[in-house]
Amino acid sequence: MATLAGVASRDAGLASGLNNTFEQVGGAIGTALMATIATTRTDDLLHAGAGHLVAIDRGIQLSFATAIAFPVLGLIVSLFLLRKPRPARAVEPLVATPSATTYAE
Amino acid sequence: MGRRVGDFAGMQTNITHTPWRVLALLCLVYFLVILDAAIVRLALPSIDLALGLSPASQTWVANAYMLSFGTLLLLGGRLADLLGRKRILLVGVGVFTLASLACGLASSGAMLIGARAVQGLGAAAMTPAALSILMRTFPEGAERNRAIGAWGATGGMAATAAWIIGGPLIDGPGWQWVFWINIPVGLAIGALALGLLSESRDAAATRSFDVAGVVSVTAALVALVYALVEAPTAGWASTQTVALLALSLALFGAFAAVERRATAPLVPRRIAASRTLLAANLGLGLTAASIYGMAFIISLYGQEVLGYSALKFGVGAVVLPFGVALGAGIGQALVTRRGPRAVSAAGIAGLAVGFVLLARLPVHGSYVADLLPGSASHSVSRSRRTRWRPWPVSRAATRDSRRD
Repeated sequence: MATLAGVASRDAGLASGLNNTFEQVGGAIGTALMATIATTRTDDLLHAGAGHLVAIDRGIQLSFATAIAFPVLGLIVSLFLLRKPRPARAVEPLVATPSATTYAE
Repeated sequence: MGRRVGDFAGMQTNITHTPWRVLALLCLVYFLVILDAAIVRLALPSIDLALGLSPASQTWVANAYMLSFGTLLLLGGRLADLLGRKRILLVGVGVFTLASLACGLASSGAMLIGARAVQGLGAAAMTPAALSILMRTFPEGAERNRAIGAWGATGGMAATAAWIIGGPLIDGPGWQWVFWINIPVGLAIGALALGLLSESRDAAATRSFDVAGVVSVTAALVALVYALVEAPTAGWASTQTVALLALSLALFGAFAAVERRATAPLVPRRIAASRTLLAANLGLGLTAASIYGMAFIISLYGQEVLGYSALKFGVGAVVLPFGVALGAGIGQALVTRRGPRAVSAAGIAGLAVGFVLLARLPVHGSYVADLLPGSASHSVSRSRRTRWRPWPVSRAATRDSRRD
């Protein structure tokens, strides 16, 4: 029990680091996608002769409309990957490597 | 923040004061690195006026930091464990502080983007070193969980505090101070770290670094983001965009191959193999994509379309931390009654509703009628993360290791 707790708490640090990675990388990709969609739309409208503010505003609207995909994907991920116990079985052979014991404090 | 730690100390009368002072210091480190990911967005219109940035460069000023921070963080954690946590923390703070100075001195977009990437490098050393010190300072169990909870909450606060801290700095002394404010804070962290922390390292661990893994995954992400950011100029179906996306895909494949064979992979295999952790992190990444992207765009809307000053816009955003606090309360009540999945689902729905509302932002909009409902829906949803981040993930890790 103590060993298991040791592994788990060691993993809490790693898991938290991994969270930061996913947060920053997700944030960077989200920013890039939304900004680039807004810019594309704005540029297109400016070329078509739209006013400056209207072009920026429509670009922003499209970027928000497209971004609905992020939470929708999030929902799909949590529905399909968070299905409870069964998937863990596939994990077992992989985890029984020496690294699991090295990390047990 | 000090008050928060004080509350915890009051609850834990059986321990000495020093660990909680250490925690306050570590939370300050985390506050600073998350603040810097967020605060720059508000400053972008002013920086644009001063340096003349293209839309692509504006995105890079925000992203250079997030990408180098996010991708180098796992390597930073390994370096901290092997070479000394205090040492890597101090090196990281030094790099971060000097790079912050350079950011404010930048006279061109390229210089600023370069300095931002170096700042992210500093953050990638500081953050995991601080987290690792936290793990060593607090014994397993309730105390550590509380410490991790405080750490996570600090990050959530920093992201919203950026709106409030940023406005007066940008409209007052100037955009440079968004970066220069880090200098006294960095120096204070350095001095406190020297006095409060003792050195520790992991003597038993193998001295090997997964450099190939770090290089391949970093290159893959840079290629991906570069393809996206340059797509409006180059064209979405252009050779450049398609080639960069293919290159990114190939590099991700190389990363996967490297990880499978590495003696000390960047992500230990038992963690990489956990579906629960993968799902939690993908969810977190998508939430961050929503929130960081949303913040970037509403700042653009507020300042470029509505013509608000950074200060006015930042003050308007004061309601957001209240939304986060409200969401935390609702989340807490919901999680005990309905479980973490229901809270997750509610948070995701809140993000989607926020986007639907924001997709209708008009040219002659107002903050209260147009911007507030959508961003409030966002802010209530994001607080779920402060709960969700440490607890179910560490609990998921526990569950997984028990099963094995």
